[in-house]
Parts: sequence; structure tokens; C-alpha cells
Amino acid sequence: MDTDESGVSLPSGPDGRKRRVSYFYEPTIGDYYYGQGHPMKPHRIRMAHSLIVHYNLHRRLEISRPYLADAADIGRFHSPEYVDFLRSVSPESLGDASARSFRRFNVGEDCPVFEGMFEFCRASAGGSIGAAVKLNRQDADIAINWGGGLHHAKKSEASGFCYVNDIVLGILELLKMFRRVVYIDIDVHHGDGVEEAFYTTDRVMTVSFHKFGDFFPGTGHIRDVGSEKGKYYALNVPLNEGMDDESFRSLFRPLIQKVMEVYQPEAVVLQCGADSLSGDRLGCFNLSVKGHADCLRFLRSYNVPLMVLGGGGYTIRNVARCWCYETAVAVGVEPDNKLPYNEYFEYFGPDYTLHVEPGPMENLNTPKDMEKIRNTLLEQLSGLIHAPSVPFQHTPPVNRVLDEPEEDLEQRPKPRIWSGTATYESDSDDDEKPLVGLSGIDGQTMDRDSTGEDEMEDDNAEAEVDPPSS
Amino acid sequence: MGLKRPFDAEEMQECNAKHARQLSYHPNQLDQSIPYHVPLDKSSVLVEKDLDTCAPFSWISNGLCQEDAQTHSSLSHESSGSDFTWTPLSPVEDVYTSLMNQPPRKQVPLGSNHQASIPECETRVKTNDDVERKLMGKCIIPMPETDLCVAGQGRKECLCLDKDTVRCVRRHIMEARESLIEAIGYEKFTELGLCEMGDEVISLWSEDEEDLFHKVVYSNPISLGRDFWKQLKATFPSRTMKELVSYYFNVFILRRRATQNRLKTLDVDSDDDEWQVEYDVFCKGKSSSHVDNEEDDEEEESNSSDDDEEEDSPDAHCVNMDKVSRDGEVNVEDDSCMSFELQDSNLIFSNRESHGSALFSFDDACDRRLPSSDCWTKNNNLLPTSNIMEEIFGKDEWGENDDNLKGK
Repeated sequence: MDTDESGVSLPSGPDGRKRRVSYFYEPTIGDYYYGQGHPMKPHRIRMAHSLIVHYNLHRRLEISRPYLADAADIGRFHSPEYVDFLRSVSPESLGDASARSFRRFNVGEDCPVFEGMFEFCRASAGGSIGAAVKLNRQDADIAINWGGGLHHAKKSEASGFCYVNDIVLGILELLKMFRRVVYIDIDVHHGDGVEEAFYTTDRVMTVSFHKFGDFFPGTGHIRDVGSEKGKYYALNVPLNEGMDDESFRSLFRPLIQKVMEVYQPEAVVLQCGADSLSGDRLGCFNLSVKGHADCLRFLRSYNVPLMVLGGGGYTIRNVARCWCYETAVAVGVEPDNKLPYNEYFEYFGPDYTLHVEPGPMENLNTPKDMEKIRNTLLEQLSGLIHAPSVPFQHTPPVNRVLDEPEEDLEQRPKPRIWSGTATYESDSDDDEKPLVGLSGIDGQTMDRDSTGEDEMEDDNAEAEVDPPSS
Repeated sequence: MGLKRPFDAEEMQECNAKHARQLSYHPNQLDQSIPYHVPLDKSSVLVEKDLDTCAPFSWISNGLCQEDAQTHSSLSHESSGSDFTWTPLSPVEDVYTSLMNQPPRKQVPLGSNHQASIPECETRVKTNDDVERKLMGKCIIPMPETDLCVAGQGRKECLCLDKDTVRCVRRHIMEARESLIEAIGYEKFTELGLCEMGDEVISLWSEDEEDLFHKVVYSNPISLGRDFWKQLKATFPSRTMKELVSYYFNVFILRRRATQNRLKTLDVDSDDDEWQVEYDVFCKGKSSSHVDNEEDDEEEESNSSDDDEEEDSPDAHCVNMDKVSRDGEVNVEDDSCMSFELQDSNLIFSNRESHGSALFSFDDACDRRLPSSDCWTKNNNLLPTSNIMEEIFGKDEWGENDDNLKGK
């Protein structure tokens, strides 16, 4: 069991609360191929899947094959011309399609036209949309789509190996149900596509930790804070090379804790790009799998509906390790370090272990640098006095769930504190009063939308509805 | 536009132009009043363009003055767009240097072609159950009701006589698959996509096809600027791209990795697509897998017949996977007169014996990040960061005078 769970001022310990986890996997995903020498290899998702199954994690998960998003679904974000282009282009049409189209939509280099490209995009997007629906319906507490997380795609163009921004599509689906969504991106590259899409709204707060400076995509400056209604709802954590576990945690935890406190999101989306791991082919950070997974572990402890997505990751054996381990963290299992026999066993040699030690890389982020970054951003967050569209006095703070031991299955659920449209146990207006969360006492599913008398004021009055049928 | 890998100068021109077109200039937004300009040649900004061309200067001065003026000692504070008269307080060279140390900030574009359209927050009543069920895809394994199932176990200690050999590993993998099928049923096993994984894919290919596949790959190495995928498609017209890719990752690369894992004297980049193994070794790997299949059918676990095969094989000089793994270490030079040659950034591992002309080669000797000359890691159109903190916060002071970050 992990022992280093401390670090925040709230009561902490091993996070033992069980979560219902829904996992999406398209069986054909591994057979899509960007091209000879291209670092993006969808096969890594298949490798992760094999590890997940052979670790028996499927016993703790719901597994679904994603719906393939169609042009209409994709068009909810992307422009019609771009979608038509994606749908119609193929390697054979390379000669016919005008070079101008390729330039216009930024396709051909980083984002090559490969066979089945649109189908690949449909599966990726379908997984994230499906994950969102699971969370909207409260069918799951955590929904995972390792085929998603392609955060560079823009409304009208491909970028950085990404064609369709499944994250934006997933968040748009979440926004039908949740008033505020926070997007957190731990890929080594700035999450520019998602930030840009939501730059002018306060309903999505985007937070990105990334290498900045002489590095793709070039955005993600600390002073990019959002615009118009979205001003101060974009957070950028620009970092230097060599980020290690301890340094990362010393930024991630306090900043995210503050985000959760002041923004009070009703749902969280975490992009787990694995190119921030040590030894990544394109990345320059030095995180271990455990250090990377600590982010998920921390967010999980909040018991807010959580969508977990893939992203970058170009040393594919480490990507598979990382996403397998993070799936285990999501379900609350600590897997053995000795890998089980699996179809891709030889990919993990010569050690055949799950965890990989970080390399002897110099961390160019000095403690002083990080303190400055942390303080600057905490200050930016402090300026958000209360969450948008929510009168402060009616909204209890989002807090981390009080911890329970993993093994104790007989436990009575401890009171959980939940903000947003939670069900109140009494008429009390007291902010300190613990609220019943999504699952309720004794595992009973409560309808999040049924309201007590002290439902907070809202522009959209929510009618009482019957609990969703399971 | 930055790419994750750099492009030619020609394209750079295009991409920069494209990027410039993308950006919108919003004079009303204080935070966004800086038009983006990426000089292709840094020196051209200040040297070739004189003070009459105000745009770059006003951009630089506005940008710096707005955010960093009070912290930037080498610029005057007098700036007002195109009326700006720039009076250096220090020698031009110093100013030039300091300006160059402030890379342009890439702006986030705004407009209907960039931002998403935010949906209304609906009530549960409005949602369409049928649509939602469709969007959730097809459930293969339902949500478990209890958490009592054991999960997360790794592999147990191997007690096989041929422990850690390729054959041993294959056997254990097969056992693992079989027990999985027993546990969840063959239908779910298939639906989970576990059927066509790993060595199982071999059954979909004939021996001749496999030989041909390997021949095509090795005779079209990337080091010679060839594209073996083109050749593969031409060689196997009846095979879909997916089938070729499936074989590639499930069999071809897997075997290569098996070889790499047992070559303890070499540091290998397992992600290097172009790392090549002697064709004969693959022959061995392939034939032993077919031998394996037959042996397994006969339930014969000993590898004595395999031993014979090795000694009789004309490939004895090659790195033999099973032999290597049994011995633990292999002294490559003794066995096969292979030598290391460094060529550019490649480590060429050549077999001096004339048996076959395929080469061992890999781009990166070690399992590390690619060297900086590699096109995937650098972004040529971005200015280098001498000091990232300066870049983020401005020179000297780290944004202490910056009120912009205060909240509403």
C-alpha cells in the first residue's frame, strides 16, 4: 500500500473509498497506425488493456465498447467544413484533395492522413462522450477512456497528432448536467485545444501543468488566464525540464486543492497524458508512474464525478504501465510490481515490472521557481471569491472525503461533504452540515437532483425528478 | 504554428503565416493587445526593420511596457503604440539581447471559429434515455456488484526447466489466456478484443506469408529511406492495413522485443521502429514458435529437440534467442564476430559473416530520450528559453508589480 498519502491540511490517509468505475475500450484501436516512424501509436492502448485484464482489474470495472461518434456528434464542437474534410479524406485521396485543404486543416505532417483515421477519431470521441453520459446518469463515479485525451485538436484544425478533440466533446456533454466542470491536464504539453475551446466561459475551468518554453505548442504562459467571461478561469502552470515526483506533487496538490475550494466543480476531467513520465520519447519530465498516478489519487479522494482520459505518451511500454496502474488506482487496488503474463509481456522486458524508476535527470525547476509559480497562481485563484452563478452562502465547500481503510468492507459510510445539487439531510442552512453524496447511506443511490428546501438559488430551477433507474 | 516536430524552412514560412492569420487582434482587451509575431530570423526584427516600421517595435514595447516595463530596466517607459519613440537606456546591443530574451507570447485566438458553443445546463427530465443508451456504447462486462474479487495479482514464480526462455514465456501467456477464458467465457474474451492479440495472430498467417513479411521489412530499412509499408501493401494485396498493422505489433515487434530483452550486452531502444534483428534470428524465432505449437499439441515440455535444432542450424553464429536466455549472458563478439560501429547518431551493429546482409541498427543506443537533433523533439520556430522564470515572469522581478493576476 502506498504510504505517502499525506501532504494536505485535510485529514488524510490511504484513500479507501470504493468507486464505481466505468471503462471504455475499442477492441480495434490498436490496429490504427499513424505511419512509419510516427511516435503516436494507438497500439499502446491495447497494451494497457491487456495489462488491465491480466491483472484481473476487469473484475472491478464495468467495461464497454464505445459508441462510434458520428459527424453530428463531432460537429457539436468542430466546424462543419473540418468535419466534412476529416470524414472524406483518405490516404488514397491524397492526390486529389487540394494541398490547400491540407494546409487549412493542418493535416499532413504531425497529423498525417492514415487509413481509417476518421474511424479512429470516432472511437476516441465516442469513448469520451460515453464516459460523460455515464457520469451524467450517475451510473459511475469514475469513467475512463484511454483512447481519448487528444487535447490539441482545435475547432477547425488538427494539431499535435490530434484530429478530433474528444475532451471538448466529453465536457460539452457534461455541461448538460453539471454547471461547473474543471479540466486538469498533466500531459507534458500544454492542453491548448481544450483551453481555447473554453477560454471565454466560466463554466469550465482549465488547468494545465506543462513544460513551457521552446516546446510544443508554445501556449500555456502563466499569464494566460482566460478572456471575457472566462477571465481567470484558465490556469497555466508552466514548468521547466526534469520535473520530478516530489516537485510535481508540491505544485499539484495545493493548487488543485485551491481550485476545488474556490471553483467547486461539479465534475472533474483529468487528462493523463503519459509523456510527462520519465524516459518519454518526446517528453522531458521525470515522473515515475506512481508520481503521475498521485494526481488521479488526489482527485479521486474528492468523490466528485471524475472522467479520466489518456493523451500523449510515446514510450509505449511506459504508457501501458502508467494507464494500467491508474486504472488500478481508480478501482482502489494496489497491483503487484511483477507484471502478470500478458500478450505483450516481452514489450516490458528485461525487467517485466510495473513500476519504473525515474532517471538521474536534473530538475531545472528550483524550489524558489516553484514557490513563485505556486504563489502567483494561488493568488489568481484567491481572486475568485465564489464559484460563478452560485451564491456563496448556499454552497458548502467541496472537500476531500474522509478516508477509510481499504480492507474494511463492513464500514458505515462516513458523512461526506458535497456541494452543488446534493441532497440535504435536513432543512438546515448550516454550511458545516455534512451532506449525503451521490451514493447515499448504505450504498443507496440518491437522486442528485431532488432538492430540499435549501436548494441554492439558481437561474435554472430544477424540478424534482425520480431517481434514475439502474 | 508550432509542430511537435520541426518542419522545413519553406513550410515554416507557411505555418507562420497560417498562425498569424489565425490570431485575432483585440485592441480592446488589455490582456490581449499584443499581436503575435514570430520572426523567422530574429535579427531581422530589429536590424532589417527600421524604426519607421512600427509594428514589431510597438508590439515589443507594448508587450514589455504593459507587463514588464517597470521591471525591465533597459527600455524606456514611453510607449504608445505607433507613436512610440524608443529610447534605449543602455547600448543597443544590450537592449537587443534583452529583447531577444523576451520571447513573444503566443496568443490564444478568440472568435466563433475557436471557442466551443456552451450548452444549457438541462434538467434530468429533458434527457432522452434512448439517446443516452446509444451514447454509452455496448456493455461487455457489467458494473460489478461487490468488491470482493481479488485483483491486482502479478505473475507467480516460474518453476519451469526452461525458465525465462521465449518458449517458457509463451507457455505462461497461453495459460493465462486459457484461465481467463475459463473465468469469463469465450464470448466475453472475444468481445474484449483479447482474441487477436499477441502470438495468437500468427495463426492467421501462413509460414510463407510470415517469411515474406519479414523479408519485405528487412529489405526496406528506413536508414535507406525506404518505406516498408508501401511494399507490404503491394506484397499482400489481399491483406487490409489493419491486418498488416496487427501482425506488425502482435508478432513482428513482439519477437524483436523478445530478442532485445535477451541481448544483455546492448542498450536497446525498445521504441525504435527501425531496430532490426538478423533475419535468421527471426527465422529461428518463427520456427521455434511453430515448433512450439506442435510440441504443445503433443504435450511435450522438454526442449531437447529444440537443442538439436540449434546446433544443426547454420544460424549458430547469430544471436540465438533461446540459447541466450538460458545462458543468461551472451558475448556477442565471441559468438558472431559482430562489431559496433558508430555512424552519425546511429549505432550500427553489423555481422561480419556474410550470412545474410541484414543489419542490426538502431537510432538511439540507449533507452532514453531521443537526441536533440531528432526532429520529433525540437520546435524550431520557438525561441529558446535561457531562463524560464524570466520568460514566465519577466526579467528581474517576478511579476511583483503585476496586478493582472488578481481576481475579479
